[in-house]
Amino acid sequence: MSGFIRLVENLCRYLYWVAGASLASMMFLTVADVVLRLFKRPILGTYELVGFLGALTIGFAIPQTSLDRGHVLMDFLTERLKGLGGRALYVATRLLGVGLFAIIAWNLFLMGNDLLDKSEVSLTLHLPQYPLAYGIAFCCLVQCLVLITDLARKEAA
Amino acid sequence: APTVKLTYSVFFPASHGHSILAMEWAKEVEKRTNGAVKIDVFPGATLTPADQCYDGVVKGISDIGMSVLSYVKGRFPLTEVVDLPLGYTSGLQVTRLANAYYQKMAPKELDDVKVMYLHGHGPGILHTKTPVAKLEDLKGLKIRCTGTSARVVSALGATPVAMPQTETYDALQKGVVDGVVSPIETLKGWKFAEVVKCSVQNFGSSYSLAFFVAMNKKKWDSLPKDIQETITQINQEWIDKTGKAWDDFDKIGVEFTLAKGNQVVALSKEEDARWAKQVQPVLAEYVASTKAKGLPGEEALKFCQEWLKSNP
Amino acid sequence: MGYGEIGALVIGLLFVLFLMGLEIGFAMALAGFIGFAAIVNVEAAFNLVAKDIFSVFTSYSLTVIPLFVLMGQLGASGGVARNLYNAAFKFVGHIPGGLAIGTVAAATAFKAICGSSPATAATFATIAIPEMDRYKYDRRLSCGTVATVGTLGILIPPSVVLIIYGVLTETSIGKLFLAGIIPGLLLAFSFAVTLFIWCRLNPALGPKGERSTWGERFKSLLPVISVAVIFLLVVGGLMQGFFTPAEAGSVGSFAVLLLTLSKREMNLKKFVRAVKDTLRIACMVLSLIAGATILGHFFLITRTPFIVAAWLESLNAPGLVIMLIIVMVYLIGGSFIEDLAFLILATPIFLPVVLKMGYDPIWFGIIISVVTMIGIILPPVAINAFVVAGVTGTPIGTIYKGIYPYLVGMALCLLILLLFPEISLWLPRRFMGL
Ligand code: NA
Ligand code: NA
Repeated sequence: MSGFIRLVENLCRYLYWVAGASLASMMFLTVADVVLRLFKRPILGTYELVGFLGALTIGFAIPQTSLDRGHVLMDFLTERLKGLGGRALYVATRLLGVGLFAIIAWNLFLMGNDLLDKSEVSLTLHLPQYPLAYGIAFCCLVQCLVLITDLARKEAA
Repeated sequence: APTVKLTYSVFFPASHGHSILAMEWAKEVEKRTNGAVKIDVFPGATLTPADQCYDGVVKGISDIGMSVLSYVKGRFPLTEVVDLPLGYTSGLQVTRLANAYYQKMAPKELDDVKVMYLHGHGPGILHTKTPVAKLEDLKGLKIRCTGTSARVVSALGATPVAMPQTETYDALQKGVVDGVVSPIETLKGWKFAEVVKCSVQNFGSSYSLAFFVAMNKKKWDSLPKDIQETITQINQEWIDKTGKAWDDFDKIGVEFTLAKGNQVVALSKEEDARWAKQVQPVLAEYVASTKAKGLPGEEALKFCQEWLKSNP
Repeated sequence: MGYGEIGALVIGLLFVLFLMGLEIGFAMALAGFIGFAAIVNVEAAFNLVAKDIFSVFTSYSLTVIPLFVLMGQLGASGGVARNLYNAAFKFVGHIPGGLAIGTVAAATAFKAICGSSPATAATFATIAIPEMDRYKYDRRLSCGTVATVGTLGILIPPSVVLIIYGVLTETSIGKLFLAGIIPGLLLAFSFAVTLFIWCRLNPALGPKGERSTWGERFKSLLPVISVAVIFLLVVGGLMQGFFTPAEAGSVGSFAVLLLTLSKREMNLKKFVRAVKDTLRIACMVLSLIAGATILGHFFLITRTPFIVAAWLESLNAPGLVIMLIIVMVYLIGGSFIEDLAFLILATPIFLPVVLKMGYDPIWFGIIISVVTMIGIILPPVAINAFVVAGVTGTPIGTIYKGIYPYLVGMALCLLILLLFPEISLWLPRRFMGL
């Protein structure tokens, strides 16, 4: 089990690097566009690229954010409920999360198939859209794994 | 018989003339089917965003939808022919052409929905912060555009800056861009008249944007034959109504910008022809790119050009 | 089952999920998905979830959130925030709650470069709260202040909310910007007054520091000057037209990066840490927005907002009463859906009612903005409080306790603006001939 946990954690970290690189690129690209605009040479379609990078930034950060307990929740009932009741709520919410992200991943994957099939591209630069859908779908799948390891972690503790 | 309830996602804001016209269409359907069909209209892209509207109809998120076809770039290569700078004179002309074209060519790309009718905005022309009278004045101007209009702006010798419609007002006000290409109704609809000074009627090189109104195929097939016929009849009536509405909006846009003290410049015949010649490569590029996909883009273009010749 | 019953069940389900301790963004997505499936069908609901998440994540205008958070994080990890708050402490630290008053002033200025209210809250949560912790401020006061001042961005231009309102209602965005200035300053003033009174009543909340000499004060200003230059670059560049609000975050982040590099306070390790913190905050905020979008689409399909508008018109009550009811609807609606989503949803429906009563649409825009400010810090769905909770690890209940005192002042301001439309309309009338 600990091997599985380590695998998931590594996976999250790689995805996080992609997200971080996208965030930094977003900043540098926009600054370059603003500067080049002064010389009447704007980079065409910057906002499309920034939107694209924005999706990578957010989507690829999901699993690690979950791992770091970065998502907010209401804790005033779970704080009070210790023992079996608290444990049951914890297991239930992890399973609900797995279900939700499985649905999201599966349907984003289908959406990616559709985008590929219908060869949808971005408005100005004609960038294909399907890799984004596949990418976020994959991250949601990893998110499912994170929620499953959550269960194991609590058990081990 | 039980009432059929349908949802209709419209990307125009609720107060916009096209949302009102869509609601009238819904009312008309309800009235002429004696209440057998009831339609809830959701304007302002609140149910599905503009670029998700079409697929939202295919997947049944809304039963009916109205949005811009080319917001889903690449999915409708043949219908996008209407967006090209073919030199339009009115919204009615564009709208009639779009429907005539669909009737004739029935491109397969629209087969996953039941098309109610298509329409297109009036001539997409140039609006700038500094006066423009001839092609040379465009050199070095940064012009807001997207998609096909970006190709038009490049061809005319200006610098295209692609950005969302919602940011254009700000960018114009602050001088991030020097102008915008759009139908003149946007001078009122999006308040651009407050931040531009001059509109150029470059009709010879004007482009448009094709809009669709479409129904989920399964929903359509589930409707009784007589109701289908009634709706088809109403759609026929709404083609001209919608085209004329575009022209009314353009007229209001002209009055609005003139009242703000801005100019509306007509190009001389020779100058207009120069501009038109300048955008020809955009058409050639279209033909080449459709050919590469094995699609009859050349035929589509020829049909439109001939139709426009006989319907000036 | 009618739409009304399904709507009520989904609201119930939502609260059960919240209470169970499911992440709030996930709970909204799940409840919205189940509701949509119940009313339309499962296939459509599957597609709705995928589409909503895809369009929120790929939205260009929302990239403003990670980028402005990045600017704050770079400033924080590069020591800029510490210097800034040192200076604030030297000037106002000897007043009870002085550092929080400094936060209000700084947020009012910061707002001019940040159009997003959760982003402002997130940025100040990372900069201001550790500093206030250092001076032993009560978390109620520090977190409540940060969550509240984050809302100023909605009123003081250039505000994304006002731009959206202008486009939705076809009102002049320039006039809306001018109209927002005086009410924005009025609210900032009310925050300062609230703080002052609150700390007088309970000095232990925001302990007074030692009084500094003028020499120390001027010395503390030195590092602040370079920050002021960046502020001027970003705000000035924005006003003068070098870039749009969406680009300001990138330019600001880059400027802070250069500043901290030049002072040798930035290295690769600190940069990576700033990026990591940014990712966590931005991902949390965007997940909330995505969940709220899905839930919002469910409420929309039940037609709840439309039914309310029709009912309102049938009341035939005096103008002020109708306005107060509308305010209540926005507050309640904004409690279930994300406030900005509810504004987008409801404004086109209520505007005709308001215009029919003879009110000015610019004024209504300002009123709705103030209501949205209140909405995003009003429990139970207070996005800004969630953001601050997420960033600082403070329990939500503590933050709510810190928000309540401000709500009193905000409600008073709202009433004043409702009763005296001239406060909002004077500037645009004076300069743009309303
Ligand atoms: Na804001
Ligand atoms: Na709220």
